[in-house]
Amino acid sequence: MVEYLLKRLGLAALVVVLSAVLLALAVHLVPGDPAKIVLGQHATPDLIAQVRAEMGLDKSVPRQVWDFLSGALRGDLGTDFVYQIPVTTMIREAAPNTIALALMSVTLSIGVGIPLGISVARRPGGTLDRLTHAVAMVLISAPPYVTALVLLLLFAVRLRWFPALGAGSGSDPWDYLLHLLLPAIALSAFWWGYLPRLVRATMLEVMTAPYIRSARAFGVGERVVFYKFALRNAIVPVVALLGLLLGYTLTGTVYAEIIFGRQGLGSLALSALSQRDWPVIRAVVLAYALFFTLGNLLADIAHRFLDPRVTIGEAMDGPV
Amino acid sequence: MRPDNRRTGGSTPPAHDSEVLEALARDRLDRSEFLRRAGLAGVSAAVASSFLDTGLAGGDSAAAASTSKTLRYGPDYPPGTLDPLVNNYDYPYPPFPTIYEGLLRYPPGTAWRAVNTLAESVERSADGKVVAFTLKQGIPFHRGFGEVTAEDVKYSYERAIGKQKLYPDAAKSDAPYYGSDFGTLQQVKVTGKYRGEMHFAKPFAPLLTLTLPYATSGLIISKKAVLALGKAKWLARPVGTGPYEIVSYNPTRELVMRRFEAYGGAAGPATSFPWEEIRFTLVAANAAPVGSAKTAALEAGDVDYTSSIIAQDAQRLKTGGYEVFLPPSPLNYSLMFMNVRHPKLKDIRVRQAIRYAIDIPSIIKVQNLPLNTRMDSFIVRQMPNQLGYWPDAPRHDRNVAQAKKLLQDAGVSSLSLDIADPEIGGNPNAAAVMQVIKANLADVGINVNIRLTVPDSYISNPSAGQLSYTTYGGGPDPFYQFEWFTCSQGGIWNWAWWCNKAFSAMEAGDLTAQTAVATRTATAIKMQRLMDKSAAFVWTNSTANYSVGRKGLKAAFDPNGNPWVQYFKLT
Repeated sequence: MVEYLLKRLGLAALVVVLSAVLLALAVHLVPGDPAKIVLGQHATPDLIAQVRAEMGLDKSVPRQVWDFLSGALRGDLGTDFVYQIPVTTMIREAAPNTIALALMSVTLSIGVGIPLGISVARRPGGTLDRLTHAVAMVLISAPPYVTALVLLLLFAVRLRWFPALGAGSGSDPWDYLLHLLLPAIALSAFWWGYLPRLVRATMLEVMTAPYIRSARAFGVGERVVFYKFALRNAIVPVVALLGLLLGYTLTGTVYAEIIFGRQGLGSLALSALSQRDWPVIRAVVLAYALFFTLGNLLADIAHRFLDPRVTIGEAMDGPV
Repeated sequence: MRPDNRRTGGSTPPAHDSEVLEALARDRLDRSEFLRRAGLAGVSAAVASSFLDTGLAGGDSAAAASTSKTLRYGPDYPPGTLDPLVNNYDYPYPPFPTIYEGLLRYPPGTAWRAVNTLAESVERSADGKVVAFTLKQGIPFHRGFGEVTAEDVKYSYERAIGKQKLYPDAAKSDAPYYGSDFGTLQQVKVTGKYRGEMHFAKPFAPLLTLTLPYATSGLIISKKAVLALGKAKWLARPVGTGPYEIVSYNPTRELVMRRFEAYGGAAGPATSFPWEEIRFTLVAANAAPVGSAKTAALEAGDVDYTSSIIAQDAQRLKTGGYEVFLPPSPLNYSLMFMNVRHPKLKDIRVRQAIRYAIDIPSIIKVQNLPLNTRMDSFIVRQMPNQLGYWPDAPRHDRNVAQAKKLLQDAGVSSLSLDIADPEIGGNPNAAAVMQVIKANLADVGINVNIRLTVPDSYISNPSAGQLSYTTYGGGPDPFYQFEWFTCSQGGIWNWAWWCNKAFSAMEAGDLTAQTAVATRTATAIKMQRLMDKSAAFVWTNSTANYSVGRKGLKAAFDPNGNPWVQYFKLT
């Protein structure tokens, strides 16, 4: 297990470093002169040169890569050119909203999806099974931004049960929760369609395994067979999927933050991209890469914990 | 909630929930209270479904959701910093004219009429090189930073031209964006506590039409505050003399302002500003909601006013009881550039053919704008005093036969051109407009490839970009309109790469250095003739933006459509 952990950590660190290098190079790959876009209509050749120098774009590419990497290791991600604020301050203000949204969404996804899957597996072909099958098609087919818009228009605009705009105030937990629910549900809806079908399928497959037949033959109670023997094995593929779930949720936060006007990493990234505000773009994408790598690492470790036969190669073949 | 919008139907709620439903339907119960009660009572899905038919909320409900003392504005883009010299606007877009005041201003309305604000008087010398000002006395800055004196004016303007550091702890790279708004200003001399003189190397006519009454660079800041606070604290909470002072500013979240109780009255009595508090919801630029999501906050009762909405939403909301505004922005304009240095467009006959092929009314229609937004000359008649307006400017109506003939004369066949809006977000309707241009040019045998994203070389490399379409902001002086089309702007904002030395000389010469309106207008007409002759530009339309407010809200705009929030009122 220790060797597995070390290898996995090493791979995760490599992914983060490679991401950082790519980000440092990206400024040269994306169209648009960052200095000119930052300066707007009053860009003059002198000002453009000045801002380019401030952005470090006048240095050699390897030097830019090194400056970014060494700065990131020191916790210095530069200064935002539009608002004249340290980028770390912007990340510190935006990240809690995005993390809260992602965690709420993952919690809702698992908290609803897995119990629902278990319920339908208990009675395959029943009313609930048929109903979830039909609804799952709708939920899986709907992109998160469509779901978000529908929820916004229905529950915020039409019914006025929830606020439509912003992330709320952390000093008022109830208000913060109200602002969180609709965007989190928008990101969870896909998994409410997908997870029950996955859990159902794996549960039904496990229930036909020889060891379940043996347990029943030994007179073990049906509830014990179902929840203790079958569920533990059936849940392994679902745990392997958690990394994918986290990735989907993190990318989905961009849509949710824009549609609900939430302050967060996603809206910050989009804004920075359109303004070619490279210090912010690099910092936000690096933060996403860190969260994504960490999430996958945790999912892999959980997978290994539940199924000790898993090796690095198998884990990497999975949905990382 | 509008009774006539209600529909009946759905399942009947259980008796214990009916009170909750009724209260909600009457708007007597806010959402938090509803959810608390619903949680306790275990409101069923059937109850929820009955709400689906309660109908759309109207402007009345939005009004009920907020107090009449707080104006909630947004969501909108942040201005970058709130420093008059380092921001994204340089024109009187909120919140600049709410926080700061200048020597002069253009009050809300449709007429361009500069009036004294902080200044008691502003006078230009006969040779135009000296502008003397006298300040009103006893006008206080926010937060106890003393009254406005000539030292503050000197500091504000010399800071703009780089004679003073932006902040006491400014980095080497901290530079003002808008120094060119002051032309050849050399220094500001303080001649008394409330008197001073601006000295120019040569006359700079736009000072009194553009810089002092309109540009953010003309706003006066407190020297004492900048020096005492330093860069970080100044940018977090800058200090002006306007009727509202900043409480807090988070650029990607919210700006909160409260009424300045000690307001000095430079723009009228403090009682003429009805709001105790003004809150701007700010969303990271270009990440703001669009389409129906843009109006959702208003419809949900979270804000009182929102701007830049699409025409279809404006129409829908108007019938729902909201106040819809369409203030014209006659000085902002959309245009198409033709890169005169690109081999495919070097022949003027090709450019003339393209100009003949384009159907401007169709371009206006696709943007859902009124047809009277069509520009009849580059400098429009709505310019203050019609300064620079060319009444006899040729009108280039669509003429397919003429376009084909010109192409034939030029020996051009099977021409294929790229078109792009290189400035991302320059015009939200750019993609639709480019489709119209593509269809127009197809009629004369020119194939157009629409490129939604282009590298910077499309602008900076004279042999890369071909056709470009975008929208530029304008200001109340022809100088502001012309300055992007000089030779030195090639590859920056002059995407046509058109370079005419006589034009550039006039821009730096008579257009700015002469102060008589007639002389300046004659110069501006000559410059427009040169632009027209080049066939490098197709002016399509000036702009107008829909905005919407809750029922009873009366918005106020300056003559170029910039909202002045302190003059918004509830009727």
